[in-house]
Amino acid sequence: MKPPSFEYRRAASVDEALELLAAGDGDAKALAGGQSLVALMNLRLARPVTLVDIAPIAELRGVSSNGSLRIGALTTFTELEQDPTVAQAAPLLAEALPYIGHPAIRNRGTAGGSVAHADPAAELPVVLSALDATVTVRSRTGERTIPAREFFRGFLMTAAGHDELVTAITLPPATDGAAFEEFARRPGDFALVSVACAVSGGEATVALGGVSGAPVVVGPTAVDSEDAIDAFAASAAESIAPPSDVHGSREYRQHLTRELVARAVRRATAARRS
Amino acid sequence: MTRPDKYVGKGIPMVTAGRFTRGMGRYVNDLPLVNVKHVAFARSTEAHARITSLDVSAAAAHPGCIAVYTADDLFPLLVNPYWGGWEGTARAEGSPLARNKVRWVGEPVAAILANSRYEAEDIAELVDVSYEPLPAVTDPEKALAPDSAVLYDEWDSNTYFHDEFECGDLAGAFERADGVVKRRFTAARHTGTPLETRGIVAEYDSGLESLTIQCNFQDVYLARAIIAEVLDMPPSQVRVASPDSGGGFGVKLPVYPEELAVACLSLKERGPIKWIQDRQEDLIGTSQHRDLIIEAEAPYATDGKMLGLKVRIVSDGGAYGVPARGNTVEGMMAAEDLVAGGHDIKDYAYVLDVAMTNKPPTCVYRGVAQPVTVFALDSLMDAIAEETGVDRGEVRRRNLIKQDQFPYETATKGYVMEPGSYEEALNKALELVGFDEWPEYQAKMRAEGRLFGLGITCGAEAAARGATWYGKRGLPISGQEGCQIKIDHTGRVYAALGTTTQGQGLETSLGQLIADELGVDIADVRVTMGDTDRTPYGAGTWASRCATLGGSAALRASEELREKVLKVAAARLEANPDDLELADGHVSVKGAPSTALTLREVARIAYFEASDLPRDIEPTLEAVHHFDPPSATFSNSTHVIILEVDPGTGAITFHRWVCVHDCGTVLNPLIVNGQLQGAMAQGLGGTILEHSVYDENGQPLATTFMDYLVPTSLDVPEMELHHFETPSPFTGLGVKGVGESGTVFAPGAIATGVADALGVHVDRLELSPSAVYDLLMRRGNGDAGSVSA
Repeated sequence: MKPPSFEYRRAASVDEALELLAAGDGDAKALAGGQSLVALMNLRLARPVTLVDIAPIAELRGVSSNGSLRIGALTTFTELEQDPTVAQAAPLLAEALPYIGHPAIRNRGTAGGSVAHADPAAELPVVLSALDATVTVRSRTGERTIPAREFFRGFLMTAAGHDELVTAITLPPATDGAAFEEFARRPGDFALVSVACAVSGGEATVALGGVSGAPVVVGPTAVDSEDAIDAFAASAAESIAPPSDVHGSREYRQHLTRELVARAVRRATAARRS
Repeated sequence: MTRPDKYVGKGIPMVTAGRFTRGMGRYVNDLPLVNVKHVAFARSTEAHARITSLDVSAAAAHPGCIAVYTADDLFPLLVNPYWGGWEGTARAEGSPLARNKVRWVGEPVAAILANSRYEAEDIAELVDVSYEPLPAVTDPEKALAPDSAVLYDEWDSNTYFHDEFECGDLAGAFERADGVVKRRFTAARHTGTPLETRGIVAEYDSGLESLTIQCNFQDVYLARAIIAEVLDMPPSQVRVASPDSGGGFGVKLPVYPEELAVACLSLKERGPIKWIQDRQEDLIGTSQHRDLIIEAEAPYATDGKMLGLKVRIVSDGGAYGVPARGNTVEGMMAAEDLVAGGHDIKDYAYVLDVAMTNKPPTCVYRGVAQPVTVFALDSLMDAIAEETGVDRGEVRRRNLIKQDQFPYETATKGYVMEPGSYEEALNKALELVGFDEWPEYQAKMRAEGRLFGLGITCGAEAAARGATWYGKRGLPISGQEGCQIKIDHTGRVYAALGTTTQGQGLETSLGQLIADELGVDIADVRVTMGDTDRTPYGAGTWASRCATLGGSAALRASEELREKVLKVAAARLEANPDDLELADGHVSVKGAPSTALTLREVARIAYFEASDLPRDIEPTLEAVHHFDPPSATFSNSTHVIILEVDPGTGAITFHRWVCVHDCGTVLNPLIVNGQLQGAMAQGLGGTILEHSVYDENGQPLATTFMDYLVPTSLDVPEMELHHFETPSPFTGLGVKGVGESGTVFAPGAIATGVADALGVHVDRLELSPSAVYDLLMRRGNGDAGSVSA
């Protein structure tokens, strides 16, 4: 479990990082917290020729809010957890953060890194998909903003080109209600199923994690009664064909999806229904 | 800390704790080495295949490559390939690197030497192997079928070992019975995952013609025997020493192909060779465990008594017999221990088959087969309770061996069991959880839609097996244990044992015992272990044997040394040794404490003024003793668990976990409780989380800690531990084994608890949430999400 040899470059600015990524022509990878990439390199499943360490780039750090919430790509999960703006502006994200790995992972892991890596069982892509958030990427030729629901393309695949760097994510203003539910074999593990639920105007939208190559969005659907919630949960479970693996069968994951969607929607609509 | 009157029985913190918590332990990987060459292995990607070509030219051409070795290069060195096993097991020629055929994914095919492990791994990727795939044999029952592909060309089947046994009047038991319970129990595969993986440094000195192995083996003398035999070297020219070791649990007992290859390479290269196993290599190549099938038929009477037991046992032995225990141990111990579990079973028969399959070998892991035998026995107890209407506690009470039956010879004559507190432990545990009120409580929770269950396991753990078990069956494994103790010329104490330490705290618990006997401060007792050049012949660390057997040897050596100290002092004080006592660092005349010598003064006489001593007292203060138990020791346990199953997720929540334990005399309650808690956590892990999964092609699916899940502190509930102390008449100080019993009793307690919560039979030790969901579906209403009372 030692990585093949690679070239290590430290980028002092976004522009320098973008130059290095472009020069790598597909064989360069940006290194942020390294919580996923380095493990993959040790398993020799990722073999970048050049690692572009973007850690020194201060402009990629930090959170700002003007109704919507802008998160710099290098902001760590711990920083997000400790930032009162996040709890206020993005309660769904705040609820999901403690599910991300363990404290040691959250200390190093970054928002941009999680998005760029695009693990289908990771929490952040699911939250962004539920909220219809956007991902901002930059290359030498310019900047573009991609809806999260289009950004995550499949297992570890995104809409970003190899010369593009994720620089920020932007979450829309908080919805009327929100809830995050997840079940993993152990606390801190990748989710068997995760559900991010956002409720607006009596309609629920859920994004499902761990059930497909990319987050699956279901809704918006009116959830004005217990029966409607159960029907919505059942339809969400029927809409997916999750994989069977060592952690659970397809049938089990579908069952879990139904259960967790129902739990999430009930919590997200609790205030309104009472 | 001021010295207590007596150390034994007190919760003395581990004397090694400071060193380890400050990061000052020295493990194999920390050894300072000069000019060391690092090994990486090219490994098989196929579960079962013929090697049609093996091209190492690209690897050899890599600028960092020192050498590439294949089986053809090493095989001539192996004068006596010893792929060991019990008498009666099928034999095959072995090789540390695959020859002609590969038999499991991960089997080493070539060894690469480089100046760093990084480079060695780069080069290993360049080894080009072509395979002709053969059908993968992954199911032990199918492996035994006549139409199965066969792993070893020289055999006509995959049967590695077959045994049949019958005793008593089993036919009569079936005739007398009011009913018969028939069940089939299976257990998933898992492995030990010590925090420190395997590692070895081998260095051949061509001037001395001697080989020094530093390796985290649990049994250094066994390793020496195997390595010397394989390399055709005199054992006296081979030194095997274990530095600090971070966990073992049994998986560091075998002498694996990689370690043998490294030993061979050091002979070839005449210098230090190092291999540190990484976690992926651990999860695909270290021995694995359980994977047992027990089909049981138990005739019973309406009063709840089981009248006899008939079983068929199939053990998935994996791809090869790992030296020296082979892969029969799980199966043979299941056969023996079903009737050594504390239940009075005299009419018994078993048929046992150990099958070869294309998976890593099964060998010994904490508890060996007993987690499965206890699961089977307690599930049978519950089945009999269900059939007869006798309550689950009472069925167990009626089947436990009665106090007046001890010493109790087991039906197979495998063991003689000493008395314990079987019924008291059961009664106490049931009382602690309010067993009498349980049905009412369970019904109340059911009415609220909550699935509560109560699980029970109770019985014996066979530990510390002596020479009768291994040595008499042809294996180079010593059942005895040795201890040498020296008091140095300043009165400080040095003890050396053939055991090894993986973090159990033996330096502390044995230090307590020795300090008490020799009347010294525990800070003045240094305990070392596991070095064939420096410690007495012993059998290492396994089977909960170190405090029982090592402790017994240490006690005897201490007693002899104490007598010698008194004799030396008596000569100087012109007193009768019987009138002297040794305590608190002084030898004094009983009743006249002012007439005294310090131990330091006595030591000085023994080392430097021996001319003053009578001729029948030899100079120096040294003693060595060896101890072999009559058969084994048996601690007893009852575990009662109250758990809850979430029908929405299949998750299990533990509300109570009571363990009432009796390991005889408790040397150190902190260590004993730590052993129990760690072992229970491993039992929980093996049941709920840790599964070495293989697909039908023999490909391993759990090869990292993302897929092989060990319990963390967040997964392990609070455990309520209580003790009885029924001393063993067989060992020094009355100590019985404790290291494994938590692992032995935890799985069955969880499984019977889940069965009680769901009202279904639980037949398999593999209770992941997904598996629990399958059980929920089996409840009959077909809708796990809407469970009703």
